[in-house]
Amino acid sequence: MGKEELMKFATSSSRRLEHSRLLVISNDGEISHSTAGNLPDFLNQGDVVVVNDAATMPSSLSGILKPSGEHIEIRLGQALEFPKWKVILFGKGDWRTPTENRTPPPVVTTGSVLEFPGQLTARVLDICNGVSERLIEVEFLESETMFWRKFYAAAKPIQYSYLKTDLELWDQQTVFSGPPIAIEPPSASFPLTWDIMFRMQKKGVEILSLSHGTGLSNTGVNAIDKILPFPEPYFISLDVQERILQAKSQGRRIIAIGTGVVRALESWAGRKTNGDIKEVATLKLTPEFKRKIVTGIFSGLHEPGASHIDLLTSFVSPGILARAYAEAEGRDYLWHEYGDVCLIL
Amino acid sequence: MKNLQGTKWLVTGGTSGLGLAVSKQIILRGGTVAIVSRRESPLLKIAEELGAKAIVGDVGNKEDIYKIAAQAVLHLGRVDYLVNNSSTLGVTPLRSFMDTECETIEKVLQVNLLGPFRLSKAILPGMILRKQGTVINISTDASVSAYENWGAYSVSKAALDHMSHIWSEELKSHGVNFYSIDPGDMDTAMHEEALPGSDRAKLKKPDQAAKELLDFILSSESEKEWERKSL
Repeated sequence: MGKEELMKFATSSSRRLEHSRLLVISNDGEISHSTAGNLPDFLNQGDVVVVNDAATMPSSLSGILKPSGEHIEIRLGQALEFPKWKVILFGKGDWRTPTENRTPPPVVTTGSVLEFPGQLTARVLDICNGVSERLIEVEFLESETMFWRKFYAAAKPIQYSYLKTDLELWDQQTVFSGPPIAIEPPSASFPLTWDIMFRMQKKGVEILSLSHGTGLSNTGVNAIDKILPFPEPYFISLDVQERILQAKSQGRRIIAIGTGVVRALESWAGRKTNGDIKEVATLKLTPEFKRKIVTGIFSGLHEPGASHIDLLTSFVSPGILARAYAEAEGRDYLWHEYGDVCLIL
Repeated sequence: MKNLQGTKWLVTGGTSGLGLAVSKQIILRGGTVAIVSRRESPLLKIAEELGAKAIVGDVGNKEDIYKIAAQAVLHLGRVDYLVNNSSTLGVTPLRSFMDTECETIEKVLQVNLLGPFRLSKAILPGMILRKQGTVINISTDASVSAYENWGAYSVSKAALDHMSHIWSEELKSHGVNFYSIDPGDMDTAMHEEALPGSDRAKLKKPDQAAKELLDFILSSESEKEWERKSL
């Protein structure tokens, strides 16, 4: 039986919050099992926990190709300079079909017009043939204010074929949701509640936030998946930079809630700045990557082979991670965005 | 008059009555405001006239809440002050509680109570993480006094007052303040709908109530984390 056949996947977006199981891995190889509600027990006074406050956009737009009227879906891939976006093009069908099995999209060319509900219109600027004919660049034909109004009226959340019911926009938000810059949810925070956060604070744990626009995790198109993650926007205020540098200078632990927080903090990497940082993260975290800021991570459980695993093996050796995952499989942990979580310290 | 330069406000029901007057006052004092209304056409016109941001949405509709919150942050960058002003009477002429349909009280609670609950829940995380923010819930004397025929509206506003108080208890050490403001009887379309033929000369103008509301919120009187204030 293959590894993935042993795994149990979350099939519902209903959150178990503090009851979600927590796989705790110490970097010396000790493995234990707890629940997300006990997260404060693993933290000490002076630790810094950094959360991602990005809200998730409804990132899927269904419409038609003009003038043929053929059905298309686009999923936001990367925000370029407004009103331009890199998007993934799908043909007829919906989320109930895994993306890799979806009907190929109709042929589009530079200048093709895509029309969505509410008279939201986009023009194709480029087809990234070097990667895939399904990765295209479009520009929306609206002012920025009008774009967001029409976008929020027309767009739907990206759905996952392994879930049994449609995801609503609120299913994709975390308790920290603020600036809508995430294309897929920063799902590590799904089990967290304010009660857990406030208990950490009472214990003397410092809670800080940044914004990181988590991007697509998978498109079902191998050629595109190989180049993921796309560059992702992030924002770190000067105040948060200063607090993290101070904590580092005092030897305190910095624990990232989610891989996006790691990507943002390690992209900044403690550089001296004169103000807030608003940049794009292009960093790809590999097992060899030497982290400068983050010492621990609280994260979801993802399948072997996902880029996510590469990131986790920068915290703990592949051998320890494999042993921990095998224990979790044996204890029926749930995998994927709405599943269980792990803490590596 | 205190300057509101640099402050970011989200006002629901901002195309008429008190919401419109508060939005005007905020802009007059240098603040930036995003107005929420389900009535797109008047909203766009008013927003353009005032220099406000416009967000089309219905706070009584669960599906609109995160769309409103997201656009608020896109337009404003952050929300410092949330004014939950949208309200409905349910049906008019007002009816006794015994003749109030269950569907009417459900609708009133959706707009007057659950709407502010949901929108506050969507906006509060940023305030808690910044350790700074104010939520202003518009109330009424009917939330503390029992008047004949005002049942559904009164119950919703009494619950809204208590919700503000509870939230304040839970978040008082996190820098977020909550106020329930009773602006008094105002010369508005809603008042006319509720009590047709009232002597308008005896009613407070919404512009006056808006000035009093902002003066209170920005004054030293408002140093408590929670207060129910009748203007």
